[in-house]
Amino acid sequence: MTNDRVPIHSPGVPTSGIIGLSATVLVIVSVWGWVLPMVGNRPTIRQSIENTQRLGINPAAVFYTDVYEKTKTPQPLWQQQ
Amino acid sequence: MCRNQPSFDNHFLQTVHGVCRLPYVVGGVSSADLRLTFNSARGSSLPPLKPIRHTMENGPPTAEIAAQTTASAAGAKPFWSEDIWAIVLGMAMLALAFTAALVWSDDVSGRFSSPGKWSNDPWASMVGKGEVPLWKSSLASLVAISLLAIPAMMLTRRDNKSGAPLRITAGFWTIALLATAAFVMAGQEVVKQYGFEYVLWALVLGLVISNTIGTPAWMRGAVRGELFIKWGLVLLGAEVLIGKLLLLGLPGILVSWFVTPIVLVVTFLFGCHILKIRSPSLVMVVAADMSVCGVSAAIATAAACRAKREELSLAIALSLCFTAVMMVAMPMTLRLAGVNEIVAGAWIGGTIDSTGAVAAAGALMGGEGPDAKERAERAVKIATTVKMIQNILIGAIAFAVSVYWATKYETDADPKQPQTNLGAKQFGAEVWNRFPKFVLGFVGASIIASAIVATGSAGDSLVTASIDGITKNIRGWLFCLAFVCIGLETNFRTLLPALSGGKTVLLYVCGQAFNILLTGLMAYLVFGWLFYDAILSWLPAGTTP
Repeated sequence: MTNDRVPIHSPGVPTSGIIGLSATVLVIVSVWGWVLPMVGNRPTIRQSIENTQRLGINPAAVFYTDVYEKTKTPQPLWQQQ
Repeated sequence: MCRNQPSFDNHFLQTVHGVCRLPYVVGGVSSADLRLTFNSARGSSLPPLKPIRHTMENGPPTAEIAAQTTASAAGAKPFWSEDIWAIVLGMAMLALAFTAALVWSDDVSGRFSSPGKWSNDPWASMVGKGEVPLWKSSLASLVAISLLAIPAMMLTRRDNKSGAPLRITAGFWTIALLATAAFVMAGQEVVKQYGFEYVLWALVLGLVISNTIGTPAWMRGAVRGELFIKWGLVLLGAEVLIGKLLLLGLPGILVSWFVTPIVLVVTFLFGCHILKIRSPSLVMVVAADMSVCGVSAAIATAAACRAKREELSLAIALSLCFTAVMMVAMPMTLRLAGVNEIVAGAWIGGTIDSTGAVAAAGALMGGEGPDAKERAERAVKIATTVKMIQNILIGAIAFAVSVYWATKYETDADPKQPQTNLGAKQFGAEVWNRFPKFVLGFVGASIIASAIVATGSAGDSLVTASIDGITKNIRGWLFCLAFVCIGLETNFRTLLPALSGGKTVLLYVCGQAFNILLTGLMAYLVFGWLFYDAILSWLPAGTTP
């Protein structure tokens, strides 16, 4: 891959940069620490999470070898034959 | 239109064309470095020459470019390029994994991993449920990578300052920390449920740092996204087991291998000739991402056609957003339309980009009722197997794209002029010089692993233990490290041109619509009619309708 690289040097970190980073970290901590756990406890979402857990599926798999979470499902579906 | 691969370097970069043949001479050199080197030519007395295309990669720095360029001008391309390093590192890691699987036998599982799933407490992602806590096995993975990566980064350093061992080590472990945070973010159960993979969060964390406080200079030597990606792709090659193609036999191959290349080519032509998107590499990455298997295909194709980092980032972000919608909407629509779960499974497997999302969408085909579980299992089985066969296609696609790009785009000749003046031998040499060599490592790893599996059950067990226990975790970490690096090197402003005024989104939508139609047609024809009885006999007992 190719690219126009961002200059990798920071002669001095600007205050706006520090504020921006702090604000982003705050947002990330709030969303992952509070919002997402709350959303995950909603009945419909909880049901769909439990459904995929029951089948041992990893919905965020990048490749087919990642699809089944073997530690939770001793026999992935395609090995049941 | 597509023949000229445009670049924002074009308007000011002028090469000493004829003195050194830049695009392949400096493969492995970043455009930023090239600017530093060649900007001086703007004020010189050199005659204005035609602009070069953007085909530069990460690599040695300005200090080394001059020496490389001089050597290359004489026709001697450095052998130890980043691609060769990726092959060496990938093969070394594979050899170690096979040895470890032999030595530890069945006990290899759980020794190497990444942070896991969590609901309310992020620390749970570091503990896990196995015997070895996930923080220990994650650390083991990173240590294994660092033992190979740090010496390789020092040997291929860009300059003496950023390539100092202490700086590279500190930079690597800082990137590793960000990658760990990305895995923890991706492990949250809601995030995971909707298929937002760790690569997205790795990219986001890198972008946040580079666009707020800026990437510190001391990290520069370790910001080697290209190396991590190519290394990871060589390991991914070992997961492309050709024998898996036989799982669904002809029906699966018909849906996966007939539809996918057609959708890929039609989307590419549509993007280049109808939408007139100026960057063919962007069109190719979006087309491969959408038609093959999401993120992994995008990564492999982007490396094969040397797409820009922001093009890969955009394609992945686009794909993950649409996947999150499709994995819920598609099974819901198919259920409402009363589509048989076998046909629906094939349709979902051939259409939804991300591999994990395909399985999750298949599970939603169960719906309500006493046989919901069986219906879901049938749909999941068909969907994941079709997707698996499509996943295997990634090797052929990456190889074909790299050959096509080497012969079609990676040329400094006038694109309007056919290259008839080159002899066959010269042409072959040119293509070889431009060919991304890491693809050979990718294909080689696939052949080696497939050959070991073909030897029998012992070989199958060895490969399965090596992949499941070691290499797929290491590959995951390498992709995660790569996307942190890509984020650290990307400016938000450079992402906007990649959108091409919304044409990229339009390309994705039109390509996906065509994909849905064609896959649906084939799924009905093959899974609903021609091979329906054969599929029923293939499904495990107790799940047939």
